[in-house]
Amino acid sequence: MHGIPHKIIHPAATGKPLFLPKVGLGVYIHIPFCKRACHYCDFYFSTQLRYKKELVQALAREARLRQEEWAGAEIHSLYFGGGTPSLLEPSELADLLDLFHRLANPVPEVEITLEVNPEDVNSKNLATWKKLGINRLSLGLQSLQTRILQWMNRGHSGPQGLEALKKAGEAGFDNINVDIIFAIPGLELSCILNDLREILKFQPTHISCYELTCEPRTAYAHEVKTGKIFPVEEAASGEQFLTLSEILESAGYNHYEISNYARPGFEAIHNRRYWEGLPVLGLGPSAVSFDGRMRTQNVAHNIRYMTSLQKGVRLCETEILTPSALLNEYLLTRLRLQEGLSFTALRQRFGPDAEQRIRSRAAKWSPQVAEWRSDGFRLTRQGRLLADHLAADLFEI
Amino acid sequence: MDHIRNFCIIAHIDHGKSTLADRLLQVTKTVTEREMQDQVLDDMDLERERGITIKSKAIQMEYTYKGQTYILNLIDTPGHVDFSYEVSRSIAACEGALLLVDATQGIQAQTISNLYLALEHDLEIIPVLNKMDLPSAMPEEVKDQIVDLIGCPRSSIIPASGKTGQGVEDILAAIIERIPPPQGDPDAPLQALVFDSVYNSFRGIIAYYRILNGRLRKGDKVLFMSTGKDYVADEVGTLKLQLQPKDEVSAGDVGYIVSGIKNAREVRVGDTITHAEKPCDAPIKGFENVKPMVFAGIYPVDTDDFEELRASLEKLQLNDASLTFEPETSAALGFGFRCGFLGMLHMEIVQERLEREFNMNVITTVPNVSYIAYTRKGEKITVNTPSDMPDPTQLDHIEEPFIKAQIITKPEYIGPIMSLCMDKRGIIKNQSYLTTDRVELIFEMPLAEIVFDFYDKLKSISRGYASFDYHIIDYRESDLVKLDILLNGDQVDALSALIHRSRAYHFGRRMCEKLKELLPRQQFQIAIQAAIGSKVIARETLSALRKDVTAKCYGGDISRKRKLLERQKEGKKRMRQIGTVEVPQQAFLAVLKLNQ
Repeated sequence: MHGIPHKIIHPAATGKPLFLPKVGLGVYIHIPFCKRACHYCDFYFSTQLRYKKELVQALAREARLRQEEWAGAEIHSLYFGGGTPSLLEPSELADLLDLFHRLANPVPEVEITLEVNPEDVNSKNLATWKKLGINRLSLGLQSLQTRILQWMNRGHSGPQGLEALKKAGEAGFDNINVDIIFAIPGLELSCILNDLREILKFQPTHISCYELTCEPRTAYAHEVKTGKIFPVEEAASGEQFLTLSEILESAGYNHYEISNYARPGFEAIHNRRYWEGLPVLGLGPSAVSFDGRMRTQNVAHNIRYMTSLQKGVRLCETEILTPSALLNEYLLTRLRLQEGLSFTALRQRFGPDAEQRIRSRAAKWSPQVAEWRSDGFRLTRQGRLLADHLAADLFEI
Repeated sequence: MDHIRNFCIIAHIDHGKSTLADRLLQVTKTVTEREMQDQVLDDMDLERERGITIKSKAIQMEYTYKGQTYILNLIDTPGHVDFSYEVSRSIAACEGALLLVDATQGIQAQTISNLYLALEHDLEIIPVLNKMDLPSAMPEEVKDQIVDLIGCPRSSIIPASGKTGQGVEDILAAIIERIPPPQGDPDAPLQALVFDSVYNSFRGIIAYYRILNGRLRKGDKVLFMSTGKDYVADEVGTLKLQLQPKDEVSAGDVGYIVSGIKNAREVRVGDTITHAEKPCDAPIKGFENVKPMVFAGIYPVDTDDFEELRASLEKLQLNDASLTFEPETSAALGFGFRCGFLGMLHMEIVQERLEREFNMNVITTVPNVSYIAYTRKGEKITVNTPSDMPDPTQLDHIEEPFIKAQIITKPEYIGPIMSLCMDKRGIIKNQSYLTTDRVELIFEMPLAEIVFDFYDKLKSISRGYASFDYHIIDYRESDLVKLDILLNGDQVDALSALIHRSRAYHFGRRMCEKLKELLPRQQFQIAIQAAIGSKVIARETLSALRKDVTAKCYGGDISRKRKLLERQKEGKKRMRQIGTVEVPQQAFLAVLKLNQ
């Protein structure tokens, strides 16, 4: 999904997919347009909206080109991410959904998520999205502090964000995610908690709490590099992480993944696929696909994406995961999940030797970071702060 | 003998000595066009890359001049201060020298110190102005410098260009006309000066010499006077591009001897070869046992490679007799060797050769010089590593080597250079104008002070317009202390340093700061301390790692994060455990990076 520069771009190999019918498939569609650039964001997008229509056609081309990869599978989720998918005209969204239904075989309870920016939320759009079958909205609130939103170069104000959340509920959306960002320079914990209280009044089913990270080639990174702004110190951002976790859990949300909270029964079906290593088909510039063994990423360039597809070629970068890479990713993602690591599952997938090695490495950890069960362990709230470090400790090289 | 000329080339590094030598070989048809590779005389990769000649070589040329055929022996000399003893021996083997000066740069410090050496040996000097083809050449100005310096007639300076070949024939003519033929009695007892040796894996050590008196024949029983060992001359001959076996080499000529010697230490530069049965009365003057002055620990990165490192050092020593090493253990780095070098460049060269020629991955510790400690009981102890330092309660006093440093620069840089040298505990001894825009500064300063970053600093404050040369003069009493570095209370022996008390506080603080930058944070706090004995003089605290970045993790993030963590883990494998603290390799080099 990221706009990292592509060194080796080659036409994708065609072949029978490895998707197993049992685990199904999730589909991700990347809409690589934004009206403006958020200062912290490094996802691939363009602010040149001129060729949006052509890009939607290219998406359809890619979907048809890769039909073989998804034809047989049961589709469990469809996710419109971006960029800003709420920039799509109703007709463009309708065309894509129409194609999806024609080509794919969704399960009846398929989760269809649309990422939306608050400024695009109005009763007309909401009605259209509802009518088109979108059953989950992901609302990019980020913060309710207008000054912070301005600093981020977002296109909405605090009250506008809250209004969007209210309207979405009123329009009948009963599964709504709200994105919020913490560890923002100049944003006090008390402010974040105030925002959270306002948001919780609307009882969203899902909340993603992202730590602001400094990604290369963003305006934020530039400000940090030139000393114009100082990132929040880790003691403070750690406290924010822990406090958010406590408050949201006591409000009835499961902290089911490091950056994600959900009311019971509302965990994100699509995003969970990434953490469980399940197949996802990604369409659009920079979109990532994974079939359980091979990961491909489409070229992160709108023009190259479109022109190559006109010639019937999909440009992407391919990585075939080695057994140790598969294991390391398994460990990395498992530790991020609330249920943690199961030794039985580990043994079944990677064999008893790997299980033993990992067991003995984890046995050296402090009880403060991991909570042991009969068949495995999971990270404590404290431990989650060190998730990367701990995962790396278990890695096989 | 009248048709032999022995000469060397005196030049500062980069003044084009090797290129000019190539031209001489070409014009005298010593090498064919096909054999011609740039800088034929430098045959190690490293030399060619760095553009410096590390080991001196000799080559014989034949040249017909005015109907007569002459034998011209060119003895190539290394151009760096670390090897100045080798230079002095090469000079002692010649009757004349080409003084090569870069027409764009003028006279530099090393040129002058080597020139003095040549004058001491009464060599005939032929001044050559090189790089005349460059647009930035300033021949008139540089000629003034040369005339001022050696008092030669202006017209005797030959303009030349190694690159275009300009002046090469004039130089050959001057060698024949101006340099006197060698003197010596072919019938006197053999007296030959060893000026170089090389190691050949099939034939052992090949020694290069210049015969002053007598003859050396194949099969002769010869004696190397400094070691007192005798050998049979299996093969003798002269030096063309390849060795040219002969039955006899006689007085005045330059040649080689193969005698089954396996260890380079048995063939010392400056030694005298004579006949075992009928030895000469006295060895040739000027022989010195060169002692390494700079020491550093060399450790294998992978502790299992210790034996392999030993084998590699032994092989290196076969053709680099000035390298010394003995096993040493460090709590931090495991088993390794304390190695002795002639100077910093020599150290770098050894390190690079280990890596390139022997594929070894090594960690080099803080270099130090060789000190002499005197105990209260009157014992004299040589201190080559901080751990050799006697207990402070036993110590009477300690002495450190001093050098005479000669710096030649432009007048506008005198101020900054003075303050640099004073800062390095230097004492100004003399300041003289060689020409109107060339000043020579003479300092006496401790060798230890030039070990770290002196060259770099000198270069940067003078924008490159300063050249530097030094000679060890003596040992002087000094207030030195052993500075230890502790991580969470555990001493890191590989980071200990011997240092002058006045600099200890500053140095200790910088070390702690640098280590704070270089050590990765761990799950607990780390105290980084610098101490003299039990007294802590500086401290930094590296806070515990409490938190990673808890960023989002979808599709492509997963593989990026995995790769990042895999790299981190890979790096961790090469870390060394000091007590509870994991220390990456680069931290051991912290001291060398204090100025970056």
